[in-house]
Amino acid sequence: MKNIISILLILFPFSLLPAQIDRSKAPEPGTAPTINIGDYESFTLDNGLQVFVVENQKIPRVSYSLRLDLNPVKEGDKAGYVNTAGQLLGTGTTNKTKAEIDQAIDYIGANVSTSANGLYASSLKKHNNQLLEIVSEILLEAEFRQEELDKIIQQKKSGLAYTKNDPGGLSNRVSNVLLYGNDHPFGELETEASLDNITLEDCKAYFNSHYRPNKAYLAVVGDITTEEAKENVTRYFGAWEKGDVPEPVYETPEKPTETEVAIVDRSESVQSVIKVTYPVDIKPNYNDYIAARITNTLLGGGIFRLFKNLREEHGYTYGAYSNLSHSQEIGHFTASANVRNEVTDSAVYEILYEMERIRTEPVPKEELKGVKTYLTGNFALSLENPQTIARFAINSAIYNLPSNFYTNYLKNLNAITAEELQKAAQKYILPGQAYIFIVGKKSEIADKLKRFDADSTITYYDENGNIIDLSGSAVPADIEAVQVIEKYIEAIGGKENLKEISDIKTHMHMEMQGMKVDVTLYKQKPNRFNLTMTMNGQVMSQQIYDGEKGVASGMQGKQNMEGEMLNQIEYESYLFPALAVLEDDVYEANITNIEKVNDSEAYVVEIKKDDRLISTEYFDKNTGYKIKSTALVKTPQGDVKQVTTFSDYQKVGNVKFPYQLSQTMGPGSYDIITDEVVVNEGIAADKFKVD
Amino acid sequence: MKKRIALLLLMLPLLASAQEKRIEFQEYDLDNGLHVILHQDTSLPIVAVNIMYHVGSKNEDPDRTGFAHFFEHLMFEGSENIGRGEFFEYVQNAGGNLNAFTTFDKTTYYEVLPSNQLKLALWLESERLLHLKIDSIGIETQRKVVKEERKQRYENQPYGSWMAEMFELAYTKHPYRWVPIGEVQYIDQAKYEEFMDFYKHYYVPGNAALAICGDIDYEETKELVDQYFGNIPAGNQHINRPNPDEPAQTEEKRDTVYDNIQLPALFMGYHVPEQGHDDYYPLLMLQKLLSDGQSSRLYKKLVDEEQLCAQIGTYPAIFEDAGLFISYAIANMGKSLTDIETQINAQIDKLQTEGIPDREFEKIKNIVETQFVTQNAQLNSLSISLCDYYLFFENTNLINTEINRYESVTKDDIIRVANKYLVPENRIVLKYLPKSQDQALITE
Repeated sequence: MKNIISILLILFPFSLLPAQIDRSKAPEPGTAPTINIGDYESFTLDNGLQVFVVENQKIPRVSYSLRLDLNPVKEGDKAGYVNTAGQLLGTGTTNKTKAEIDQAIDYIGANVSTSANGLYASSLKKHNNQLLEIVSEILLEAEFRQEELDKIIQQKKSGLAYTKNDPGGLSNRVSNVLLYGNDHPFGELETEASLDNITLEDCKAYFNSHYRPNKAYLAVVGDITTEEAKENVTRYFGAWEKGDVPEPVYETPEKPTETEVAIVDRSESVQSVIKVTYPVDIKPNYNDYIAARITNTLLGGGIFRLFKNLREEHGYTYGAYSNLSHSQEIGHFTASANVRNEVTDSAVYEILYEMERIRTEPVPKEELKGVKTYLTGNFALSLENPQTIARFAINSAIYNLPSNFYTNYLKNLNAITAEELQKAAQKYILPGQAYIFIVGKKSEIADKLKRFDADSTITYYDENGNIIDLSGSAVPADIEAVQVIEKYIEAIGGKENLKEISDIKTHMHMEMQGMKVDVTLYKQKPNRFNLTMTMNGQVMSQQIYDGEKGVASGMQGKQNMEGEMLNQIEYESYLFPALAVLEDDVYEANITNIEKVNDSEAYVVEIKKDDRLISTEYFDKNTGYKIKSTALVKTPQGDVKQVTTFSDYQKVGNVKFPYQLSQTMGPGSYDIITDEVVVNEGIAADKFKVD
Repeated sequence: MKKRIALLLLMLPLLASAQEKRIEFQEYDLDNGLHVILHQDTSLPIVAVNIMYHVGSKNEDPDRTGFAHFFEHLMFEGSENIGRGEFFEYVQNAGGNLNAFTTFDKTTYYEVLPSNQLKLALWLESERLLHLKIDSIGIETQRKVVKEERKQRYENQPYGSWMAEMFELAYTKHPYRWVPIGEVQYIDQAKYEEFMDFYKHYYVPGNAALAICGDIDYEETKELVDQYFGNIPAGNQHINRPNPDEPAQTEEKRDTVYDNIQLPALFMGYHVPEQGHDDYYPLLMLQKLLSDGQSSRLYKKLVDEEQLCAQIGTYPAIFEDAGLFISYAIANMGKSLTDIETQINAQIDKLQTEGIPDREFEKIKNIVETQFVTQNAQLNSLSISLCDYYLFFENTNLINTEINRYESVTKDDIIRVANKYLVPENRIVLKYLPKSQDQALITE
């Protein structure tokens, strides 16, 4: 009887009260499943090609991924030719043009991609033979052609232009120079110039000397048996000839001896791309490799410490992570986050804080258990992709790992202690020997980042990883645009004297295509303007503004000014536009930078009206003079940036005027010489008449 | 003769294997309206859980754009029984991964875990559906996080604003006129009470589908789903689904955006009907014809032959309500958008007037087949697809049969839709030019 009751009680929860679960705490997991790494088989062809086969029939697809085990190549002033050779592969064979190859690949719905150290190809099982035929032809009958090289170079140049505007891409690009230096192949960057130096011969030579089966691993993964794979690979890659492959060795890049702050200035940035990074010597065959991996995961994997701190506690970023990567040559540690400009220094502080904390505090027991379970689970999840097993096999071969490395991986991972972890942290997490590298808006971030640099000096880099001198140019917080403009006004004569003037006539001349052109500028208080250009007494062009309306006329006819053009001429029509900026609220002026103009340092001041940029003006830090301005001009050929420099300031009455102007517009450059400046002599009203 | 037999024999196993790849599943509704889809795959001890809510940026008020996505972030804040910050940790400490995303039409949440942690995923998802708990700290933190996400993905990216610009131009009435990330000013204004109203209205069992795929036992899993989701109240029954009549576009719209870029870019959008419409599959095939693979018409002509573009593509932005067929091109250094536009239009003209050769049509079919067969290789994407087919096509079994819909498309169908939709008066042309070309400025 007693037995029956207990059976009923046990049954109850399932049959009658399904909802009676305890919601107040997380349910206990079921028995941990056994994680079996799938099997693979391997064989080697006579030519040395090592093949790994992972059979997986979930999807009727077969993939081939070839990886060459090569030492990197130092490219010098031809940086990019190795990658270019990888891209040329697949664009021509002795019998096929690129278009024919593309057609053959797409016809069977296949994917084929190539690189300097390998290729990947996949298709449905039923197209397997056609796929192998194409891949084999691409590889064994490769023929590189000049026209395809030209195309790739042009594409690469476009890619460079894109990267220069992509803060993430820019960060990856320049961080390679920081990490590995110019002397190591990893630190060489493709530039427009280096791309121009690449010849077809360079690419052919690379391919011939490096693409050899005795240096290659091929992973065959998917709906295929080892027997089939063997037959296919022998048939399609058996004729691939082995050869001697160069094995250059390089000095191992060193980490910095102390913390260095480096910036690539990107004035349009609304976020800073932060990297705390340094080179690391870590490889899977090192004793503390697993401990180092756990350490990095705890610091910045998944949703661990960096994410929790920078995102969930502080709201600085969408995500903060760290990465400890290895390669046969040299690895790197990188902690990264994209954060809004104003919290850049705070975010750097928190990253360094977390790096320091993992070194100094033993990891609490619960957290250690969590990170181990996380890595164990993710190891299991990674097996869903059959390529993982192939990757394990190739890694084992390349790093000469013990045969049970991956089968014992989880056991070894779970045996790591908090002490071992801390030891690994002290060895591999180095907040005191890192580059704090930021792509961002210097004028808003630089000053507050100085404190992180060991000698308080920020190093600036350009987009090609060259050090540039912007050091003196951080805009001091204690100076404002108004002061800069006031200093300029003082320098040319002072407010009082400027206000004495009611009209200005400036006679200038320049040379255009060998002909002398006379240029006369009339300005009258409060803001009337006439600029007339004449050649041999004939009026070539005229711009007039009457205080409200503007018109431009020339050989091509007459045009009423509107919108930005009108705003611009209105600004220029003031006798002294700088005075208008000081006195009229519609103008807004801001210092955005300090830059070198010729040999002088200058404040860069942006003048805006209604939030639209009208002019960018450069004021000499020492003399106060306006020495340069830039603006955009509409021409029949499109909009062109116009740069004007001003020099040779001379006194006319009590006010100084620049007597020498130099103007560049597009490819052209003109010197405009002032012959005479006449003030307060009156100008006839009809000079400013707009029809 | 002997050869022919061999061919036949070769074909047989292929047919058989295609049959074997059928994806088996079970589906049913709970009393409260939650739709449940289960798929067993015991090849690895892992499980993917996905719950998709039929709510997206389309359900937002025009003065609260970005709201559905902001709310998605708050769904990780916790519940009556889960403290702030614990949601992520539970999944992570169980060895799993999780995430979520919001589109115009839907918001979906998923966990992938070792299969012995299935209960945990069900507890977490049922907790936040039953009694989500958010506080001001969570709201203010996620407000900042979402704004950083916006900067990272859109504001600080070259061409990052194209989608917002395109949809704003394309629609005048329909809520597709704003994009899921929304406007900063509205992200700034969103309030606690509004979040809770939104939650009560849209986050109800009848407005969701739950898919569980992986190493599961069907009966046991049904039991667990019942325990965790069975007694969640059905709640609101009348979901607001705005779909105002968008007036047909009658003439071409054009605009120019000046961005922090060096390479100009061209984005063209053509109005097309909603997903599942008779013209939907022909449009998807048209997309592949134009730009899938390097032998595709646009890539071959504009990238390889004329070398006008660094990148070119077409993309079907087709949703629950009428969408856009997008083509985009990034110019090579020094190439003009005018030439690019002319060449793209010439390719469309050529298709409309000259038709499609047999071999090219076969190519498209082979590409479609490969993509269809390989797209759901991972349990997580499979679970998302199952919910998607159920909620937006009302036919979960399309996971197996959708290929037939592609196969019934003829060459004439593709040319018909090209003629019907890819016409000037039906398009929006958006040019991206370098900021240095902005504003006509006159100087002395």
